[in-house]
Amino acid sequence: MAMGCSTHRAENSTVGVVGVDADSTAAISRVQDAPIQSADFDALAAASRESGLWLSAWTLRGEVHRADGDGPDFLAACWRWSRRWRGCLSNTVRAYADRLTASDGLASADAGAELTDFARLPGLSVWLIPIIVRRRPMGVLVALRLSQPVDDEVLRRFCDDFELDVQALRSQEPMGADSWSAAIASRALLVRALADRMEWRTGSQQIDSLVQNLAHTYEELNLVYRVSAELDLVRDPQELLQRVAEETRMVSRARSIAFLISNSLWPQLQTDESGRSASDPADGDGVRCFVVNGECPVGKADVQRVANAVLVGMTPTAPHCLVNDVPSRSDLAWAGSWLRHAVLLPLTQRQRCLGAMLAMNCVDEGDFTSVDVQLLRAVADRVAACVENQRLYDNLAEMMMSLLRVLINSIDAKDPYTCGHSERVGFLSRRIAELVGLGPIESQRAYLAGLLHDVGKIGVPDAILGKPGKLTDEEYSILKKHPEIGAQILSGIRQVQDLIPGVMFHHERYDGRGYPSGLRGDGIPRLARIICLADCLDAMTTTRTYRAFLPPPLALAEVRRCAGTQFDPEIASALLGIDVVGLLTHAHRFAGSRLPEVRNPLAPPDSDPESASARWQILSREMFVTQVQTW
Amino acid sequence: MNPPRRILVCDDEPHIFLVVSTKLRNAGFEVMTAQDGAEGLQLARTHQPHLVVTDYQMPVMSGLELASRLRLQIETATTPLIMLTARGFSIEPADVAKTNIRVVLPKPFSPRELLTTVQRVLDESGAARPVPAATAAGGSV
Repeated sequence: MAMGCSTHRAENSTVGVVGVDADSTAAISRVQDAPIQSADFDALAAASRESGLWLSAWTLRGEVHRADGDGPDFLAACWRWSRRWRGCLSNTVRAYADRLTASDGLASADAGAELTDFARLPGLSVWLIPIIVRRRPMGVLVALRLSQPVDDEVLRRFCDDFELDVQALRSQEPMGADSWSAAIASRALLVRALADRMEWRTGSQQIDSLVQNLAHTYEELNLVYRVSAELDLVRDPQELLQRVAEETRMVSRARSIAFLISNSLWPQLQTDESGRSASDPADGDGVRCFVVNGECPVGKADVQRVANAVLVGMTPTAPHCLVNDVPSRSDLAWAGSWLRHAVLLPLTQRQRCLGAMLAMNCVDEGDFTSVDVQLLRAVADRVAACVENQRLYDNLAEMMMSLLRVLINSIDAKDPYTCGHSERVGFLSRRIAELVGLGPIESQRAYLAGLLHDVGKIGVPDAILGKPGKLTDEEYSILKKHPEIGAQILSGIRQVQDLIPGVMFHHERYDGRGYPSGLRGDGIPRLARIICLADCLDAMTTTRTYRAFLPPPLALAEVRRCAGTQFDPEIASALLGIDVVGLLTHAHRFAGSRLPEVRNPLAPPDSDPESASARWQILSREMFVTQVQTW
Repeated sequence: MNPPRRILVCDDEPHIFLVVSTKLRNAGFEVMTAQDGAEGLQLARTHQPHLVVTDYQMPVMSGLELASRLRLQIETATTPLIMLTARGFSIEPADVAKTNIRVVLPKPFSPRELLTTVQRVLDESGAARPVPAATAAGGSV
């Protein structure tokens, strides 16, 4: 059966009855009650019109939903003009619907009914066709058909029954002959058309739902791609997590998102008999990294309390905990004034809990759904892997540095006077590198180079290194080999190749009278020029076996004097511009030693609570990641 | 009240053009769809959309070829385009420069991002934004 629109459309074609006649059987105002979609009804009505049918759609309660305002004029006119007529149809529908739903509520389209000579009008047929969706009746489609002309006597009686004007009705077309031959309608065809339409409509709704779902999946996939790209090992964790939280929040329905990464591993949540966990998962000191993104009306402390409370209350292995009504949970009721929904996702790797991701409050009126949780989980998994990698990386880096320090300290420790010297030269080199404008990564490399600058001394006999007096020429020439030996030793380590020039040439002089190669001026690698100054500064200000220390002012005077000859003048003036005593004090603290001073009995003893933190300032991920080749 | 801006969406894969057209329709645009470059070219000529969103890899005529042809057609010589491509598939910038392609987006794309891109490109080309029928504050799909 063709679904096309009819070629002529009168002014009021299909009309919903809302507002047409307030007194008529109550019209439906809510779309949800509609037995059939308007577009579908209109299509059926238009197609049926041509066969002389007048269509109307009703609910099972006998309320009309939509009626054809166009079409066979006699029937349309009866509908428009007679309240009794409308009422009569309504009752008919009602009676039919009651029978229909009297069974178990399921019906098939074949359960339709046909009434002939309806309302004592010969030739007037009424077809009642149930509108079925998934075997459940939603309403009734009523089709009227007049298959023969009405004679005057019958018409008069009809008009009496239904309070219609005979003349007016008589004048309605089609009462003429043409309409009868057009009445080739078949109930079976209409039933088929309705069924097809309903099936199409269901399919269409399923597609819409699929498309919604698909669009959401694309958002999620896109987010996961972007987050994976952002999870760069080298970036500052705070900045990284802030970005990930921001991206996730834009796509998810959370008003704010927080990441809490603990310093040590959060313990496995084991509850003892009382149901409490073995230890508080993350106290203030224990949180290494904490970002909150989005609208959050409270401070971090409260967010952390929430996270702890939820974590403690959940099964240790659960991938998430969804709370859509926070005030109703006794352990979270205190947060009820600002928190309504929360999703907590533990960040776990290899069954260890590294922290948590917390999504708080929804942007719209709804709750967090499993779809939202899925999205958050995808992000949380990636973040957990990244955090774990960073932790492992940090562990490795820390171990490497410790090994290195142990090695260097054991070399330095041969002579009690040089104890800590390499550490201090490293510290000073880094500071000087910053002063001359090197970036953070290059400055870190300078630290490493300074730490390693005297590693070649391991190839110099202890007797020479510790000799209190002046060295013979032969002894001196052996000692002078230590930069080359150091370079040789380091040549075996791929990751420090860029530091070798600094180590090899740290005894060169700006005026070209140094060793081993007699390089001069800018021909000396800049790193070597830096280390040279740092080395000499520390050597001058500490006691040696062969001479006493120089107080810092005198050491600085030496530096000033030798700028241009021994030292690069630019680097020297950068150093002279700062508080060198302060710098040296820090360097000693860092190395665990003391800056020798002219004895002052009233001076308070040094305490060095800061050495540990000073040490941590040096150690960072960046210095192990890049090797800078621009010395 | 502005008349709705017309957008032509061209893609041989239903899952793409359905997602894109639904998103754009919900935002108040009038959307036409075509499933290959040739159909798109014809629709563009007769309906003159304000913007064309097209896939790159399509049968019969690729998105790039469509863009070139649109430029040559009088009716569509200035119509801006947004091109979608498979991730990792790069198009020669020189080729893009010869057409009116304003943005190239890799797939899978974020439908939300596509919508803001569409609005931006239309703003830049001087067409006003439509008033959507109903949009929740957070943006519905």
